[in-house]
Amino acid sequence: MRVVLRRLGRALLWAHDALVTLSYWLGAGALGLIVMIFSYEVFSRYLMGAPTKWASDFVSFLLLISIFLVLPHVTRIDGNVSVPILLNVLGRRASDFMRRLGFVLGAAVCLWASYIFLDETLRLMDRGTATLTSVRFPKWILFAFLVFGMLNAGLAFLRLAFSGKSHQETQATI
Amino acid sequence: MIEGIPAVLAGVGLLLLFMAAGMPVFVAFLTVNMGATLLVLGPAGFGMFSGSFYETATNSTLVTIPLFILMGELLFRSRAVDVLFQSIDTLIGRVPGRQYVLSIVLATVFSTLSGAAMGVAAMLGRSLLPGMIARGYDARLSVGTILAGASLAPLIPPSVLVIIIGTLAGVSIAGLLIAGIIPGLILAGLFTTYVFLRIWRNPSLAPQNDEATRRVEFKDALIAVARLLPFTIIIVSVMGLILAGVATPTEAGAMGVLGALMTAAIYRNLSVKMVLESLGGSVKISAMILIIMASSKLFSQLLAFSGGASALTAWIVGLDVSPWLMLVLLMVLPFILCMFIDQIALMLIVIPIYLPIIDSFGYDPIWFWLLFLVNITVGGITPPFGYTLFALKSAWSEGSLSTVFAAAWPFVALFILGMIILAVAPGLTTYLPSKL
Repeated sequence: MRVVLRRLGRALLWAHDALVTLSYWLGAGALGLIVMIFSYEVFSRYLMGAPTKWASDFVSFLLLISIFLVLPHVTRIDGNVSVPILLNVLGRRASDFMRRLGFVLGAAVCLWASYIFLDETLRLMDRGTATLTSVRFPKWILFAFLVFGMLNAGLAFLRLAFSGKSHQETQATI
Repeated sequence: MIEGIPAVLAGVGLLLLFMAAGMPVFVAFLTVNMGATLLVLGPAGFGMFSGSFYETATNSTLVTIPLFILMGELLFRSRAVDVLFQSIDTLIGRVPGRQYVLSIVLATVFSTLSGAAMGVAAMLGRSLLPGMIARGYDARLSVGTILAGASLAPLIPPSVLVIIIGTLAGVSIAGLLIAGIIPGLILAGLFTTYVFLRIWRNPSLAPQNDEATRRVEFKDALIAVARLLPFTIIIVSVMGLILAGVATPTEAGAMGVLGALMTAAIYRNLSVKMVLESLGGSVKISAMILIIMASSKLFSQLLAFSGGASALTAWIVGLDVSPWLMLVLLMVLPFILCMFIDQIALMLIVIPIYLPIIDSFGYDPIWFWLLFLVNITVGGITPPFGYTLFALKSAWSEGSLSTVFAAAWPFVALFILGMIILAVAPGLTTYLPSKL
């Protein structure tokens, strides 16, 4: 039973890693798409005198999508911006404890935020709310990315909090 | 429930405490904002919380941030910066203390492209600095020029910090981007003049028989200029289009990315792998910055709700101090805080608090925010806590922290002198934006 649970646990962690990696590259693709859309818009507006109605809206949607697809990966590699003044002063054990405490709190607030966003997503879906842009787009789809990003960042924080690795090891291995 | 000025102090105090404890900056903002929302507005306020995330993450002005970062990544990964290094090295030619000038220029260019003064200080601390010292250049002056050059980056377009200030303060981003050019040149001029003066007074600070100080032939200089020409595509794509009023900063950012791709192609370093790596690197950095911005957006709204922002403004305006003294006070706070905390985090805390104060004192927004920008960059190289100092020291293992500190002070003083010049001559910052 223990072996089965351990294998299941490993499989779940592997699946989570694969999902986070996939979403990271999709986020990178979203940035590539932003460049293409804006370049098309500039050429279309200034060379052909025919600006698009959709470029600016889609670029802003893609920005949101990119941020929240990439956030879990950034969290997984412990890449979020931090200012560890106290950690540098404290001893190794104390600083490791503080760091893990920060990860636990990070997990708690990210999971809480994802719950709030999920609630909002369901509400928007119920009401059929669309974005207030020239091209109407279902708003709940964008909020679903907020849920995805925060939920997986929360899980990544949990994994960091309970992993046996130090900060340097985490960054070196991923 | 606390309100007014105590609410501001409690909010800012908790934020600083969480950040100092090593918590990721966005988590610190999330914790304070979600806690405060629950306290001030109750669960009904969570709709506003969601809205603040959505608004920030879909703000099309902020698209400029990943675009500027991608431009720098492409230039770095395509090794176009190597060409830049060699050409600048050749063009500097035979001047006394040429490597000091080279380190100022390289640190400025690299940190402008990478957007990370700390990273560039560490990189040059490991690569350029040991070579300079081995050739007989003074260690302190060498360290100082690297620190100073790296800290000029936020002033010079494309600057990510300018986009953030412009967005938060509601100031023209194009105007702010252009406004940084003259101050950047003035500060670079001050640093170079200081170096030459030091060498003139004490020639032993620079080696007399440096192998690299060979005479530069006209042909070499011409080749160096020719090799730099592809970079003009990027300069024209970004600054040219903004100055000509043809494109917004965001569109110019996209054009700059195309320019960087063309430059990489001209240098024969364009590949799918390089583009993918650049995209991957850019989204990581952008997500780090933008998630902080999204998490912090509610902070300013909560300041308003708790009555803290208006109470603080009323108190400060009621102090009855002259605009000049107020300017000094407004600059001292970020100068000190920037020694301890991240520049972006600091801006997100301070800008919403400063906005009504600046309004009531009638400061020119572009002039004020540019001074603020210079100010927060100096914090990074001010001993004993400036974090760029530690980045350089960690890369320069054979040097001592006391040397790095001693090296930084003259350049901190030069930055402050530069700020005084910019403060008393507002035209230096407002002239170019007025031409837009």
